[in-house]
Amino acid sequence: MRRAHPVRRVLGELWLVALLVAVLLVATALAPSLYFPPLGEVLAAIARGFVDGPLLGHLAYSLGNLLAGLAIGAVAGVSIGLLLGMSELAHRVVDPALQLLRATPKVALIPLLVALLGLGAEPKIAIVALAAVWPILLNTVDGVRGLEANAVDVARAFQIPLGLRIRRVILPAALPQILAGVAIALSLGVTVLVVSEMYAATQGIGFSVLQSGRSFDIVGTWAGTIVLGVVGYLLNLAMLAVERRALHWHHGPLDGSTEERGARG
Amino acid sequence: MTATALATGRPVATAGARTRRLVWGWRLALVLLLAGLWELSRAPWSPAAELLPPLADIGVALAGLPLRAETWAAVGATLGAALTGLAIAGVLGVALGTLLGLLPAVARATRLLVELARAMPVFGLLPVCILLLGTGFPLTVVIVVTACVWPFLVQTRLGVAGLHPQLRDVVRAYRVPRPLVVRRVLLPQALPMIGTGLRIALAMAVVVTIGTETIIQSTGLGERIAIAERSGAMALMFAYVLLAALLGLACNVLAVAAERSLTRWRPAEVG
Repeated sequence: MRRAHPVRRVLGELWLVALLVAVLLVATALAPSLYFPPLGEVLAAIARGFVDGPLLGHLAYSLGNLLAGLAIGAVAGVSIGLLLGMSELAHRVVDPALQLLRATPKVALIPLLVALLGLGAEPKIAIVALAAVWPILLNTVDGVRGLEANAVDVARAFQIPLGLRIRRVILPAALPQILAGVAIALSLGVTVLVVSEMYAATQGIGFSVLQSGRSFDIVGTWAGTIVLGVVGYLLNLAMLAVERRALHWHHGPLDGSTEERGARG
Repeated sequence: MTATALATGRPVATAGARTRRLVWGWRLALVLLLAGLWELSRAPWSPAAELLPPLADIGVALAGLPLRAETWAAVGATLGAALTGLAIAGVLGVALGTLLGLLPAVARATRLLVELARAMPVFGLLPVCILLLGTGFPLTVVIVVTACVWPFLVQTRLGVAGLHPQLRDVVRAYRVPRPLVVRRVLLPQALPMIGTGLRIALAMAVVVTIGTETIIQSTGLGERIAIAERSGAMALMFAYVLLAALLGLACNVLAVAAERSLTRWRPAEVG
């Protein structure tokens, strides 16, 4: 493929979005309806929300819960995944249970977690961790099991101690798969987080969007919705950057990282 | 399984029957351990004591589910909304994905738009959609479509874009008309990718449907779970959660089978 000048490439990707925003700005300003308030007002509401604080506070609360849940899910997923990846027997024993747990729609657990843990941050962190752990765990297992036989043999021949072997051989080799799992976990985590904030919460971006919808604050609803979308996109970009940085040494195709990316189930 | 074990140099158990007995023994031990932990966390001193019903009660509730009319109504509503949304998303996604795959300029111009839309947490759209559509079947379907159209679209675009050079030469040499190329070459070539999209989208459809039902309390499994939880019928709630899990598992099995049948005519190493 022919490489265009970077400026032209960016323009080639941006012009339609810019055009769409411009058209919407004009159309909603000229013909405002109850449900589609002028886009200018919505953007102003977003700016106000960030300057005066309420939107920023909700967003910080949500992101904090998301990251905490993801961290717990990642630690649990990678360590259990390592164990199951290295032991054929353990893997065979728990595989049916893993399949059932993975297939459980995590959003169905939200009412239970709210009943158990209340309305605060705990049930949100718990549901994100519960949703995040499976893709990371299963991808870690796949990554470890897909380890090249040569690497295993060499590590064994040199009698490299287990701790070192995990840190220097197994984890780096499985890293592309693990990060692909984290990417899936991220989008899943955002999904369940928003549901849990809408189901029962007192704070958070999902709560704030639903609340403004319920009180017929249409401008506020659109503002929150747009912020949610942009945040989701930025999180995806951040994840891509992390993958690129962590895997810059990795040659060849990054297994499975593109194909399953959209999965939220 | 044995092949991978050989390839990775792990010791392979020779006595298959003995290993199988060992595996089932460990599984039994695991189940007993988990059941013990469950009963332990229901002990009077545990904070979860009132919320966790005895396992036997959950079993009884699960066995009783098929006798309840509302169970069937809920499963029907959930499956109906999920599959309707999935079908619409499939048609839309494959059509748009084909278009984007065939027209790189359009794909480039819409890339950012697609990425933005795809990253949108669908449940974030609920409040706006409730205002526009009310809370009913159409709302759930629209939410499912918004969630499921992207895997179809992205996978189809990837599958359609880039014809193998040899095929391109053949198509050109024989002057095969464009529509025929799309139908007979490009779409079949994209089928494995579309199959993957279907598998991802089906799982998403069930999750999104149940999530929507939980939030807006419209007929379905999600609503049943929320109602059971709010009325304190914890055994019934766990039974419904299990039912949802089984439904998810069944959908996954179906999707994998569908994916396989879409790619059966292909040599295995290509998919």
